[in-house]
Amino acid sequence: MVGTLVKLQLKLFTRQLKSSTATLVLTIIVDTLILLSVIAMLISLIAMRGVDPSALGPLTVSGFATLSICWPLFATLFAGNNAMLDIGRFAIYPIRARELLPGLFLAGLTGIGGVATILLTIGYIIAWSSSPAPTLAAIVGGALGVAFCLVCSRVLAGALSSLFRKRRIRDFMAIFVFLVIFIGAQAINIGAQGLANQGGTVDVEAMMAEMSGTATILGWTPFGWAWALPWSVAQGAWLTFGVQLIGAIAIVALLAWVWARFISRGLVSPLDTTVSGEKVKKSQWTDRLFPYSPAGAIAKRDMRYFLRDPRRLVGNITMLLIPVILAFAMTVSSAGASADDRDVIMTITTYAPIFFSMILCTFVAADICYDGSAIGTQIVAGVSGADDRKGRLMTILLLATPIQVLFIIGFSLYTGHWEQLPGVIGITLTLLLGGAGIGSLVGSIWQYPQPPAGGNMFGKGSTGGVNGLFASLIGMFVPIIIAIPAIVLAVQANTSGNFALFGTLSIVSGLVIGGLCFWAGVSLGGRRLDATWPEVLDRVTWKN
Amino acid sequence: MSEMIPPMPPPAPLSGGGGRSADALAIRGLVKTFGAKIAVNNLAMEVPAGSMFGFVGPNGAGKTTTLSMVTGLLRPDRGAIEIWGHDVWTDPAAAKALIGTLPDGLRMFDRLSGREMVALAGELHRVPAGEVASRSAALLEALGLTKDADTMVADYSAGMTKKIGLATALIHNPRLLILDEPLEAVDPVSGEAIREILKEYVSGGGTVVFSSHVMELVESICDTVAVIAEGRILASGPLDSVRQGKPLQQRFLELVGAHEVERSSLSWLGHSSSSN
Repeated sequence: MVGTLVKLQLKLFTRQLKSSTATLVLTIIVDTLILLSVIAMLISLIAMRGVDPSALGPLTVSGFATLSICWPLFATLFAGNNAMLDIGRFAIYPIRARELLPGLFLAGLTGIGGVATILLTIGYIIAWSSSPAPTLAAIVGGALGVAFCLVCSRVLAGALSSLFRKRRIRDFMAIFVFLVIFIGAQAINIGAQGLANQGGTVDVEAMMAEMSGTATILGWTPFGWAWALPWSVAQGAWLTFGVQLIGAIAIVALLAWVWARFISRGLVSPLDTTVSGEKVKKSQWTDRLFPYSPAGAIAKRDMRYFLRDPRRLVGNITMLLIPVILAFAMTVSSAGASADDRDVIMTITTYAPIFFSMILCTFVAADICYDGSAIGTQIVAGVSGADDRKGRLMTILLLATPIQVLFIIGFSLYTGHWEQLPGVIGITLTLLLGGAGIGSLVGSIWQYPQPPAGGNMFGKGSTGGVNGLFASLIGMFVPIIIAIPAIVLAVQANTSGNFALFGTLSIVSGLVIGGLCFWAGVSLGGRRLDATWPEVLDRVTWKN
Repeated sequence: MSEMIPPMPPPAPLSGGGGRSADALAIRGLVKTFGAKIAVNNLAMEVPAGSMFGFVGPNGAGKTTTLSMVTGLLRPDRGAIEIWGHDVWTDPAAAKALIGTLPDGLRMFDRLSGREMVALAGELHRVPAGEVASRSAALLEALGLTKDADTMVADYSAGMTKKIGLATALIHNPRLLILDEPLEAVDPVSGEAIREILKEYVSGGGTVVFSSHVMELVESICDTVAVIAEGRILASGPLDSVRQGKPLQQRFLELVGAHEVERSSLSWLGHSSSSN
């Protein structure tokens, strides 16, 4: 049974890789990056062999306890398409939970996450291998630590799976997880910037003392019990060692027992039959904003999706956050600057709202991809490509324009640089109108499948492969290129001091260039769609 | 189910169409290949206007591929498809205005409620708003979906999704209905309702093409059939001429070439459960 399951896992994995070159290339790049960083950590762990336990202990315990905390979280997040986790698939075979468990355990270690963890654990054992007793403790601790990571991740997935059956919660979780990652990454970024700005050297002694305290605490939590074993041995703290050893074994045994219960339950309840059946509001005020026509119908549908589709909500929130984060980062970086520098930074911050419109282009381009094969409804109705482009833009511009205006006013209020307003408006007009047009054209040429709403957002293919790459690259850079005249004029206004003249020119250039791109993008994009509807349908269809 | 669908106006004769206009759908020399696999192989068939046309064939015969090309969802490699003389691929707007379709295997905008989905289809087909409201209410009632009209399609069962798909296909009162497996996953009560709707639609002058591999169903409601296998039409015409006096099931197996199960190699089945 063990061999069968491991072979099955490997076969599923290689099949998925072979399914497309883009997936293969992406997987190779990501896995190589992970392996390289793991090897770097492995080398530093090996180099730590012989380091005094008073330093080695805090470092390894805090590092590996963090690994134990993160592993289950990441495994649950990225496990979306792992069919092996779906116990229901084994439900038709006469197998007991305890027969499945060892095989599923080993299968879980075959992925890149498992390989990376095993490599790091080998490094951990080597780091402790300068004398026999800690070596032995490290081997036991390492094995228990790895087991904890894996079993804990399965228990977490099992506990969440019953929650995930409810569509509302699934939708909400997707948004929540995305926000945590996004904000977390930004916080690290800004924090690092703040640290760098302090300019001071880091006090190694103080840091070690702090880490030692943290490690001691972690060593007393379930996440650190196993990893702290060799440190306790090296300190000769045998009572602590005994308690941690019993704790580590007990927690793995307990989690394994819970996991087995989940498997047993999964084997007898394979089908997801929960239907929430909640009602939608019968009429919507948004309906009255659009004309009664095919384009209007597409606009209304798109508007409903913006509010009901979790995938769209994630995108909307990101778009709203980017100018705010930029402004925040700028403010942080201006904290220690001189008065003159601060003025320059604040002037630049006044322009932060233009990023909202800059992203709009890729947003417009991606819109059609979110439809998936449901776009067939439009194709069989014989809707023209131009109506499709117009309908989507109606919704996107109706939502984006007021927000853009609020951003511009808010940022100008915040920085007080009202003289920059014409320049900001000029650039924004180019990006908003031109981006809408270019996005309409790009979206008519390069489409890629998106996982259906309610599916895993981190699963395979959600990056869009080569077409997605093209669409993003062009959607990012072409709007900047067409905004160059407006940008140059805004800079000229600052260098010459004649804000009225160059500001007005900037607005005019925005209207003309943005308007032209808008018109060209919508009509060319519409024609392109009319000529290629069946191919578009094929490209946006999510194939499993 | 009394005031469901207004009677169909008889198809207007096409100017210069000649005898061709008697066919609601005419396919000639249709070819579609996927890599090395020939899915549709020089297929030709005619669907007479006003007929209930059953399109039958084994799994993988090319039914869905053919119907997708008829409705503009899949581009043919070669061949012509005409709806009352309008070519689907050179004059798509005119041809598609005459068709209502229930495709198989495509998702719906499932974050819309059933009512919203039907209204979307109506507006895309330029049906006046007031008309959409009354027709949609009648269709939802006839299909037994009134109670769930404001529930998201994502929360519908497979059968309910089929039914809402049928409502979106009918909302613009098309002249030709192309239905891919319309009764699959539909419960017997709703199945009967759908049959009644289709019969009423045809008696009002409409034309229905539907694919199925349930011979009893086709036999009970169709007046014309075509048998497809390996991308070719093996027989086509009025039900009785295709059947040649035999049950359709038997005639179908003769045409398609029944796959003989070699009894001896499966002799272990059911005899003893001792091994494994």
